Amino acid sequence: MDTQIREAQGIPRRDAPAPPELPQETLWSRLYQSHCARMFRIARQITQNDAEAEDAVQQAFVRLLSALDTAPDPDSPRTRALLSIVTERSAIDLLRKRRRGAEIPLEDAVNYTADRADIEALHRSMDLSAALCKLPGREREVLLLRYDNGYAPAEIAALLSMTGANVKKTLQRAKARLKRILEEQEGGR
Amino acid sequence: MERTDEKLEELLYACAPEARTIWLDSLPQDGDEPPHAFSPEFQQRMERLIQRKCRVRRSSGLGRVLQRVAVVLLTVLLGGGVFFALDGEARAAVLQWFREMTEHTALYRFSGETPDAPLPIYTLGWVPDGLELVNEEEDDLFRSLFYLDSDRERFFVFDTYAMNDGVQLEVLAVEDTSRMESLTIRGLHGEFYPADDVSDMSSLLLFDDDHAAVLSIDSNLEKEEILHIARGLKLEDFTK
Repeated sequence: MDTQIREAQGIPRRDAPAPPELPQETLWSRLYQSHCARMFRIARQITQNDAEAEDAVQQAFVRLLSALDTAPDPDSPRTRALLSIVTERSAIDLLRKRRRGAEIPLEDAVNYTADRADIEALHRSMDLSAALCKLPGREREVLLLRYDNGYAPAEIAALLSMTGANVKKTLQRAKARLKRILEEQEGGR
Repeated sequence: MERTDEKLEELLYACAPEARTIWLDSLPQDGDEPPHAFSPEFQQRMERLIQRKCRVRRSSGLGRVLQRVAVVLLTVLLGGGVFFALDGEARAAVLQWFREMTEHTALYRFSGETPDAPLPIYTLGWVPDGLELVNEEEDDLFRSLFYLDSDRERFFVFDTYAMNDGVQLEVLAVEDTSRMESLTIRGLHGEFYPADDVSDMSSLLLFDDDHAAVLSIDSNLEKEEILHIARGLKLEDFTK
């Protein structure tokens, strides 16, 4: 079903690989050079600290190098999303580890996206897209990796340092929440 | 309106690219603030990370299987002093090491005065039948031996890491770190992380405090075989 729908819509199964003629080391380096500044900005916004943001970028690359067979195309928007998601999650995990016990509403820290862009106001016509962006950080990350990047639960688990069972549970929970949001939106019209 | 799961799946595939665009547009953009100047040390350790990963993969040509090999990952941090401020389990050693456990990872950090001694050389006294050395690499902080069978199914990686100040090792994708078992092999304290649903690899870490080194075996072999390999380790007299 997944494959049929994606093929019908012309969506590749997962991130398009980078051009094969270049060595992997070059591709990964290019990926790093192209995206490290943006990854840092994302991590910095969450950690509010330069050193912790650097560590989060490093952890994100550790996860990517461990989870992926080959470097994804550095120029693809899907790759941009992938790196952003993994960086966001690495920064949150790092904060959790280092500030254990502190009362930091971490999920709120990444929900800045919805508030900042005022998504609902700007995209009333894009019900599901807007609703997806309004989900808690973890649920949004898992849904995007699954339905936009096309990763299997086991691959998402490796990218986000979760268990396969947790990924599946998060997917179920996110879909249930989306259904509720959509029904509320439709009921409110 | 009742939405079936199938309908929602279709909608999700259709809307995910648009959601991605909205979300990416909401993230900090180029020009929002001055670019961050990464330190030379940071750039160096990122290059090391990429080089190591790609070198092992290239020399073995294993692709997916090799993704699983780097369960234990070495990184070098800028300085060690900050670690003393962290929660962790400290042990007396030539250096001190700290272990931070989270649900899915175990992070080991080393801090203190870096010993002025070469990395000890351990040789393998026993290797399971059918496995052969296919890759070997070394630098000033680690030595790695990669063994593989002819079907490219069964393998293990034996690494030796320096416990230098600022080094950290991370055991990744451990489903439940509470399954870690402490043990002692050849007088060395060890910690064994069994395979789980996330990773089909087990990892064994052995701490050679006297020589300021950590030994690790990452493998998809059975636990008993991994322990057998560890029991066969021999320390070469590297002072000669």
